[in-house]
Amino acid sequence: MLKVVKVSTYHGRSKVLDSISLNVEKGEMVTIIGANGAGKSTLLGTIAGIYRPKSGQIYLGTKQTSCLPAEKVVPEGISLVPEHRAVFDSLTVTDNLKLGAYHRYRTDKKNIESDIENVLSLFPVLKDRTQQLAGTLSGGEQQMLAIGRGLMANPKVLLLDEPSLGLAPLVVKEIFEILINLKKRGTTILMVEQNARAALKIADRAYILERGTISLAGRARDMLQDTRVQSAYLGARLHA
Amino acid sequence: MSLASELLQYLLSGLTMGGIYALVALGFVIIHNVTGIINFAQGEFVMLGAMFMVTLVKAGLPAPVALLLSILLVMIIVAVIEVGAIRSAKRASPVSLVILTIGLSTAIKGIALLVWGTHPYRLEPFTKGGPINIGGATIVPQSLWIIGTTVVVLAVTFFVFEYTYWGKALRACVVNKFAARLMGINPRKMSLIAFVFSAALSALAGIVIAPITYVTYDMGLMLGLKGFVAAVLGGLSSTPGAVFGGLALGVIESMGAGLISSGYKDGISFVLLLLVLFLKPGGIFGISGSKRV
Repeated sequence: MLKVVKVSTYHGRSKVLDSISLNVEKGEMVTIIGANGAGKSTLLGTIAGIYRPKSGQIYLGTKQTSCLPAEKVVPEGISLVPEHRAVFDSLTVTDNLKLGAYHRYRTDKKNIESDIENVLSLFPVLKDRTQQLAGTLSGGEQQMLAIGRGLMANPKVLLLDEPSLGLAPLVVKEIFEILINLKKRGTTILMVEQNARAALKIADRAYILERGTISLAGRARDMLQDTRVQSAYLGARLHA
Repeated sequence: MSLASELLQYLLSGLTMGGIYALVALGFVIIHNVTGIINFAQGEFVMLGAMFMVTLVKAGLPAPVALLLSILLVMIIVAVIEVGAIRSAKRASPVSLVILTIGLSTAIKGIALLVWGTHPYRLEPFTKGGPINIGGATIVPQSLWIIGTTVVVLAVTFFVFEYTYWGKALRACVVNKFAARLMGINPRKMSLIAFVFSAALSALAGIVIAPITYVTYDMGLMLGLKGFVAAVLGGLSSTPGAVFGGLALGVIESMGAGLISSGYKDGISFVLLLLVLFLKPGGIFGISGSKRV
């Protein structure tokens, strides 16, 4: 479904992504793990059209999206839930969700209301707060809103950038439960996550990103057992 | 004339001018919020609105048609300017773009000078009739038109921003431009809408004020600057703030002119600008900075 072929992205003159290739199949949950500065967010940003790759292609189905700007990538079916949530804090929860469906407002107006209901049923906490300003929500609620807003675009692939960042452990657990739920509903997800153990537990497959290149790819379950992954990302001691 | 009725008189004429300032200030705020640019050509949009109105009425068009047509013409001109000048320079820093708008303002004024000359024009008031007496103060019917227009326009603006889909998209752009793009909102389109919308506000301001002042090619400078002062008073990013700033500026100016000396009229607003910038740089509705992206 989503296919990234030999993509290299630069920030100014420094090469952040070096010939990255990966793919995500329909209904799959794939996670990218890696240290700070490995290029995880840049990778998602490149797929979402925020950064233009210097070389390589990105395909969604058969359509190439790598030369489109971010606002044109969304209608194609790629929706990014950005790092730090970036909800519209002086707008209400409902308005945030409505804006998530911006690209299909003209063509698909009828279904937006029912989609809002649908998304709210995934996040019962938000249901009681539809008229509250997004800025007054807690961090976890804002993350849920950001995910909900991303879903409102009706994406073929949902990109999640660090959904657990800066949240309390209990809230993180709640977010991951929602992600499992989404996966069960068949949403295709590509997720970047610092919390490697939790991410590997729920994902189907994983890529490990190291200084802009993919150093390891495989089934998430196998990665949990891999000693190299354990020592580098899961905090296990080799001589324990 | 008793002091009370004198004060009422100043208040009424202050609100009249204040309404105009509010409309211009609103234009500043909308463009600044969406694009980060302070558009110093705003005053010229006011002048263009008034000039087109005068010309079209002279050409024999009925006033309501002339009014709509003038606003439409200004909107088209501003759309061309946005696409041609602002958008093609979008890579420039906001400061360069602000300077660019100063250049645009000079250019528009220059063209207006060539087209209409230095001669001041007059526009008939919208409705005939002598001054109306209210509690010892007198007010010309055109003032009521100005105040009424301001109220209606503000209500419409409020409605657009609060209840329409693209009003919300515009606000989303203001709150978080990055996230707005991720929703598929095109910031270029929003910038165009912001420019055209605020051009319409300014043109309307020019048209309603035309009957109580003379229309000249250089009327835009002062009105633009006053609108800017009003916008700064209100915090530069708040629409209610702009309205409040406009009305407050109008009233303070009129009180100052009446009670101290009319020679200080313009001085007062610029002293006010300096005071606000020194004492409360966030504006009286100090919410700027934190919310703008």
